[in-house]
Amino acid sequence: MRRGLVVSVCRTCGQTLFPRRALCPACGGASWRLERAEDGVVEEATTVRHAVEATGAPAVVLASVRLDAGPVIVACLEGQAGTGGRVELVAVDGAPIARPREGDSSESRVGRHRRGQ
Amino acid sequence: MANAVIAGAGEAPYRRHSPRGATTESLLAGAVRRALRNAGLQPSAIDGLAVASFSLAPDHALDLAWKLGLRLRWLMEETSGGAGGINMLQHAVRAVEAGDATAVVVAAGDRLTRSQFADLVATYNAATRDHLAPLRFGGPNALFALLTQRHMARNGLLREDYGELVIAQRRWAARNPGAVYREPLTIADYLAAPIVAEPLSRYDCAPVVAGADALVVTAGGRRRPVAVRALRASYNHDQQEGDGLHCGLALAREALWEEAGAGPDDVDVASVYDDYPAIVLIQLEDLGFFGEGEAKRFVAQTIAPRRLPLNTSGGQLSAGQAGAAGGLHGLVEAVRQLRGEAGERQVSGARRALVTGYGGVLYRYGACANAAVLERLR
Repeated sequence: MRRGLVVSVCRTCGQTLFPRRALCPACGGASWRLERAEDGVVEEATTVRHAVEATGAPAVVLASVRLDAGPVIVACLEGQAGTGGRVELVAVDGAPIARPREGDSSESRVGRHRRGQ
Repeated sequence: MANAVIAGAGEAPYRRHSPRGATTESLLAGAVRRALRNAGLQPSAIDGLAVASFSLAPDHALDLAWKLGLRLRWLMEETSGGAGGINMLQHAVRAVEAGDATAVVVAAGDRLTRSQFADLVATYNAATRDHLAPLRFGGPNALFALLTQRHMARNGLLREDYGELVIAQRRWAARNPGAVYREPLTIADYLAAPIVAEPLSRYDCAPVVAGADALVVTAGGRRRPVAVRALRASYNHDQQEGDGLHCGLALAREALWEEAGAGPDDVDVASVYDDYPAIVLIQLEDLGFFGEGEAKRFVAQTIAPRRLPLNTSGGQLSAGQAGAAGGLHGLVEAVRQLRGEAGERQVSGARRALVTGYGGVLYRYGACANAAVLERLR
């Protein structure tokens, strides 16, 4: 497990991308700088109650997270972070896990999100 | 240049659990046989084949030609998922118009076991394998749950609004003996259904079935021919950097309707790709059936009362999604409607049909969208 998620920054135009691309969609460049994106905001979250690969394991909470670095990614959400909550990212084998940022309580937001179903 | 027409259509019956001994190959063969019979053609008349299937491997299009006994001069294999049917139709029409083939069979189908389906979902592409599967992300249902949340928030929709669409399609399915899920559905049933991933319930996710579909495209003539008046496609329109609340049809709309010499009001019957209700509404909005912010009104005034005959087979949401056949299912239904062969669900006097495809989820939502306008010639 490592802090931050590896994103690709185009050395030519600065466009930041996740997942990686072969050529930059903005400028066609092929040279990348790898950076670790550590922070983002939860845009939506859903508890996956019926997974294709169901194994009896606990339900996963999946979220769209807008990275401060730019891209919107899909991450596994751990802990009580709801829509609008700030999260920090860790990567497990390249797969992003989002956790509430220290000192940012989003429990009320979780409540509102669930009532909205 | 020859005039290409759709001369026939067929479907191998969709089943929740396919009969013992049924294989992807046997289902594809069944659909091809039915489409040829519908077109009044012998296999010996066929000189082109296009196929899409997630479960034909290790066989490919060539192997299928061999197994079907077809001697060909044109061959295609398609891999873009829900947009695959219209993509194959586009290529088949051009091949016939150019003289590369005179009679093309377009086929798609799947029989996926539970483990094959799980493998397909986990290894759909490299991005999914590397960045989603390790999260035990639950498959496309979870991604489209996130998208549907965005769609609800943007358009002020409630679950009930999607429910009205699902129920309208179920009412069509009741009149389609080929649909797997035909029992009547009420809004109370819909709202009480088990949640798959909020806000999607079981009725919002196209159920996996086994089955296959096929079309025959020929050079002119034939009985009750159907013309492809317009066909437009879009791939990777936003580099997966948007919100998925618009698809490539927004870019294709103007050229599609101009080429068709028609507009949304001229459509007698529509097959709009329906893996999830929100995707149906996104495509209809992008094609100009209603304006921004008008989804709720359109559902209430046009879809719920079935003023627009939409997904008259029941769509994938009620007929079932037979893997890659999902991209061809709506075309087959539209051809049946235009040829007056839709039985109890026949839309009287149907002359012009809209068919769309959507799919190819690269990471967060579909990257392929296409649409065709079909017209009965006589």
